Amino acid sequence: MNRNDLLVTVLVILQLVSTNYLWGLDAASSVSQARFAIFLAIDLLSFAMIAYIYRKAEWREQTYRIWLLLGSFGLVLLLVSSLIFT
Amino acid sequence: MSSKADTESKEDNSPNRRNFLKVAVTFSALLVLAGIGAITKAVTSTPPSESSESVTFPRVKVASLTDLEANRPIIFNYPLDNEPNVLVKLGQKADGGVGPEGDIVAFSALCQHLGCVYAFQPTGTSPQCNSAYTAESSVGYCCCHGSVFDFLHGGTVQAGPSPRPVPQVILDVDTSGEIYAVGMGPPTIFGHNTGSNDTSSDLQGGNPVSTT
Amino acid sequence: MRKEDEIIARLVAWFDSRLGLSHPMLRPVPEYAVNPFYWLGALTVVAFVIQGVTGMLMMLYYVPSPIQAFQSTQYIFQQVYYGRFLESVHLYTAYAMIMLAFMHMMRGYFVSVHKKPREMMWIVGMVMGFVTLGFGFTGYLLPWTVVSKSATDVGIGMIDALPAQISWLLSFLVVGAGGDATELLRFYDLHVVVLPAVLLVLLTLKMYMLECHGISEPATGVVSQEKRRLIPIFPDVSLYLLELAAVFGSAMLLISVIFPLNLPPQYSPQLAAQFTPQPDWYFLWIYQILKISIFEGPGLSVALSLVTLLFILLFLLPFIDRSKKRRLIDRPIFVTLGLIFVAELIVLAYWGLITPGQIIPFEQAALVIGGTALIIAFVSFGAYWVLFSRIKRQTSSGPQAPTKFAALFSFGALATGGAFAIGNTMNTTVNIIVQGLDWWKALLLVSSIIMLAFVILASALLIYRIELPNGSLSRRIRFLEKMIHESK
Repeated sequence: MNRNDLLVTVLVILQLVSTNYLWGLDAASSVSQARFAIFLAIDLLSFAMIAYIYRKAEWREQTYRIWLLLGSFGLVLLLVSSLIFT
Repeated sequence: MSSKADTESKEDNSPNRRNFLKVAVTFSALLVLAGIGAITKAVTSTPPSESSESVTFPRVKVASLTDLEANRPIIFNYPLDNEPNVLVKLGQKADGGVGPEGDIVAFSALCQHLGCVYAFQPTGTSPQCNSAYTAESSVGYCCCHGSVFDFLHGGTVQAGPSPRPVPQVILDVDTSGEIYAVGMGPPTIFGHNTGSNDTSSDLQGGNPVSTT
Repeated sequence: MRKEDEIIARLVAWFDSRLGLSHPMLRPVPEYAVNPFYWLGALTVVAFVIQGVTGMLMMLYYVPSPIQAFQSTQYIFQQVYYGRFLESVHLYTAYAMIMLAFMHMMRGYFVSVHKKPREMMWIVGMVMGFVTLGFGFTGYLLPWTVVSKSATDVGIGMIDALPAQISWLLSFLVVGAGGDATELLRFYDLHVVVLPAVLLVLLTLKMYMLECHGISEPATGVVSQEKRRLIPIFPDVSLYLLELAAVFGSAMLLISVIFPLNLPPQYSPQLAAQFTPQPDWYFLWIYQILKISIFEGPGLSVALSLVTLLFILLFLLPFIDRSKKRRLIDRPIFVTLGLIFVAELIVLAYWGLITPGQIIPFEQAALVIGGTALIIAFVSFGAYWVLFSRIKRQTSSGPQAPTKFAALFSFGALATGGAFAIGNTMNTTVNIIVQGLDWWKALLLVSSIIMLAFVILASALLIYRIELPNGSLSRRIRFLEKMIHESK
């Protein structure tokens, strides 16, 4: 499997975990709102990256590493901030 | 950043890989939709609480536009059947006023100081109980202790010991020129959790006037 | 093929054939259009969809009556699960939608989309822009807070001050027979049903026209063959849209978390009396114009008519800008006008923000508005003169006409600017001597001196340019004389 496919698999798994987490959040707690936003954003950004990889594959073009790096960095940032958020 | 240096290595474009990616993208999109579904479920499952029960004020006809003359007040009971309010056409645009000129207002007739019933005083007139005072604009003057309420500006206190403005009746005019009382603005009417801004208290402690 | 691959392939093929995913329906898009600037309109629609979703969720709890509006909004903020988050997303996405619509319009303006054959797309788009502003105006009232009701009352007052026919129509639609309850219910109806329906109909119309006319050419006029390669709408271009939408959505979510909203206090006439009403930021520029001293009292109708006239001119832009030229290089006047428009909006809006409720003296207003326009005009025409005349000489495409215009305009602008700067310097100096110095006068004096310096430098630059190897001063003067003689 080439590197992008591995990334896609990781992202899908990340999305599964996030979405699962979203459904399990305690809606009554006030901190849940921030957590919800962060994990839905993780969901959306993962989708954006997967769509980007697929689109470039369809066009027989090569993906630009900078976007994938930025996206991954953003995801890591979001994951970290969700842990700090109490 | 040069495009050549930043690209990934040559990619495999076999149908297998493309199908894998198609499935991945579809699944990914479905997961996003599921995430949005989570918030829908949460929002719709908010348990009701007391404050969500609708506070419905009765809709009561007070007068017709054609009945009114400038500066001639009409007394009516609202929202409970024993609490007077005064409705008057002021002849000039007032805050919260209804009607074609925006000059028809109504206020609770109970003074917010100690609950006396006060009266409407047109501009330039003096009340019978105090000939020393002349109204500079359309006001409500309370004979008990001299509180003056400005009818042009939402019943704010112009003078006297009242600690807060007198509540304004929310009016509505329908297309046939009938004026209805449809609610009360804050603060609460004197005697109903006096001093609070939660007007639902205005409906407690008596019989509401029935909707007409 | 391996067994799993074959199963996946057959599954994909089944969905594809039944849903018609690969069936070519919409015209493909050239590759140069896969660029965020071409998608500002689409992002506006994405914002609209987000508004729909968050709005529909809030509709489950909001009650549009004057007594219950604030209570139900407060209930959403405090009790409803994720309520405060929904309200925050709804507000920030509303702002984003208006900003995106504006950027979409300005980008279209600079790229000349309003020219043949897309004039009607521009007009339909302008109507959609008004609808979007209408969303902002109607939605703002719904929470029934001190801030929102005061601002809306001012807005309704302004509608009443418009010329009689327009104000009658708008009043009737929006306020009805009078009274808070009717007004709120109408605003709610407009916000939730009427305006969305109108927007969707207009959107369909615009998309249909887009399908007929295709994506417009880029403003630089130079497009390589590679960039003209056509890309199918499904799945490629749709995916690009979804990528942009996903990033935009994430941004809105995160902004709502970092800056969660607080509900202002409930509206009551007494509280409102202590509060200076201010419209929401997208109306601040109009508000600032109305606060200029000469528009006080009876002048309000004049100001509103001027603003209405500006909107009408924008509306009818395709019939005002009739030249066939599409490239930025060939449109110095309209590009400059566009830049001035954007700059004035920003300046007026910011100024309105920092001077709530204050009347603006006419001299200040003239200085700021005129000054902004002149500075932008100098910079823009200067850029055209210096940069593009060189490019045009190399490519030698198109007639000399823009240079003539630029020359005439530069001379005119410099003369006007010079007179203005000299006059203002003298005026401010006299003012300071007579009335004494304060911060504002000092600032005026410094800025008018700067403007004077600018004019002197620009004149020197112009003369220098004329003296360049391509022509001597006398030859240019003879050329100008010939030009003036010819245009007679």
